[in-house]
Amino acid sequence: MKTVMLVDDSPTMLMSIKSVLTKAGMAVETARDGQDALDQIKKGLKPNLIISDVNMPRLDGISFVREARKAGLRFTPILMLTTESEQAKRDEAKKAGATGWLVKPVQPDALLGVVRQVVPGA
Amino acid sequence: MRRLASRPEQRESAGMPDVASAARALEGARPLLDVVAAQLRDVVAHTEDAAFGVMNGARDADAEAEALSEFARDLARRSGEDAERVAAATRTSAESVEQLVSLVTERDRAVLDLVEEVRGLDRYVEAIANVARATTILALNAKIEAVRAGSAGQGFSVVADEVRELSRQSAAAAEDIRQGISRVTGLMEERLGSSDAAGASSSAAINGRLESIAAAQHDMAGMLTDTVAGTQSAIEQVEASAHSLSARTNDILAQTQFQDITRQTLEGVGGALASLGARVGTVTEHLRGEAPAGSLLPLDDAVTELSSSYVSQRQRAVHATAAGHEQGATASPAIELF
Repeated sequence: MKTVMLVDDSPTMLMSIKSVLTKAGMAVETARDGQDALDQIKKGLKPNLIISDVNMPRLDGISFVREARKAGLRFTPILMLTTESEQAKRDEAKKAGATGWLVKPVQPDALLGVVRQVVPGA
Repeated sequence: MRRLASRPEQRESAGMPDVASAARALEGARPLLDVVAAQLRDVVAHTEDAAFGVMNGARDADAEAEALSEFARDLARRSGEDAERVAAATRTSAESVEQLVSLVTERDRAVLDLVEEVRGLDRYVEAIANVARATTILALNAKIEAVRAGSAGQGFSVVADEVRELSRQSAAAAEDIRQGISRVTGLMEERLGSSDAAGASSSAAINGRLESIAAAQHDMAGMLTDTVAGTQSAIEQVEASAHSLSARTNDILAQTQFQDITRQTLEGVGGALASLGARVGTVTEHLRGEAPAGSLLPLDDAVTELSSSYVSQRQRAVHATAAGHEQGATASPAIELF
């Protein structure tokens, strides 16, 4: 079973996306912001995929990607799931090491399609 | 700061603004904006509660759909096993009936062979009857010759009479045997159903009944198979509905993302209200003579500030429409892999 880490400061987003992924047979870990996610990774959590929001308190999504790559998650795909639509932000995320960009709201089939594309066997 | 006319009526008559009244009027703006901001925060909290309620309901419905689907799968499995058992039992039953029919037919054939064998005894009986007839004629001739011989043939006459009597008895015995054979073969044929009187106990009737039982079993198996097929079809429908319901709940769960989008929009609006409140506060303080004119910020900046806080294409589009501006560049794709 593949493990996905969800990072979002919105409890409804966490519950919504977690439900979709759980139904699709994946294990899901959650973090309430980038700092929480980074702490969990530093404690040894090694998910097969990370889906992160961009605008969050304490540590935003793009900074989190940068820190996560530094912390050793060099090859783990990280998808940004956000309402943010500015191209400049996308470019910044890409430069930081993000794998892809999804704009909210995302349909379950579309989300699962991308997840299976970046995590074969999910 | 220049000194203002001391009384409002004096300032009004002099065509000057009543700054103190304006300051008092603006004092109410901040509490008002605070209340509006609080209301917006409550809307966020309320929609969050509602989103959780919807998601919990959808998850419950999904669990029910999954349970229904599991039940349908189990029912389909058991139904399939029942159908297999019925088919196996029908096959076994049909084979048993076939064996019974074969046994009865074989027995009939053996009995018919026996009947023919017994009927074949008739020719021996006929031979005995022929011998008896010849012996009678012979005894009659012997009697005639004995009479011609006179007293010397008296003894021979007695023997001739005894021989004729024996031949008569032989003929009678042969007839009895023929009748016995006829009676036995008749009864056997009767038992085999070659006679109308044999009725229900005949072999043909037994075979007919066995075949009727087999046909009835076959019909029952067919009906049961149809019933199982109907059940399977209903199960497939239930499973398809459950699957569809599950997909719908997934869509419902996804739709609750609107709450997060709304929250971010309302947080932007709240920020704009806070900014407006701060500006109004500065104006109020300035009117009271508590803040210099340099501290006053134009509201144009607030619009720019609000604009820069947007995170979604929708927010920017609404802003452009409300401000009478043209729409910006076309939005990037909603999903992009780098």
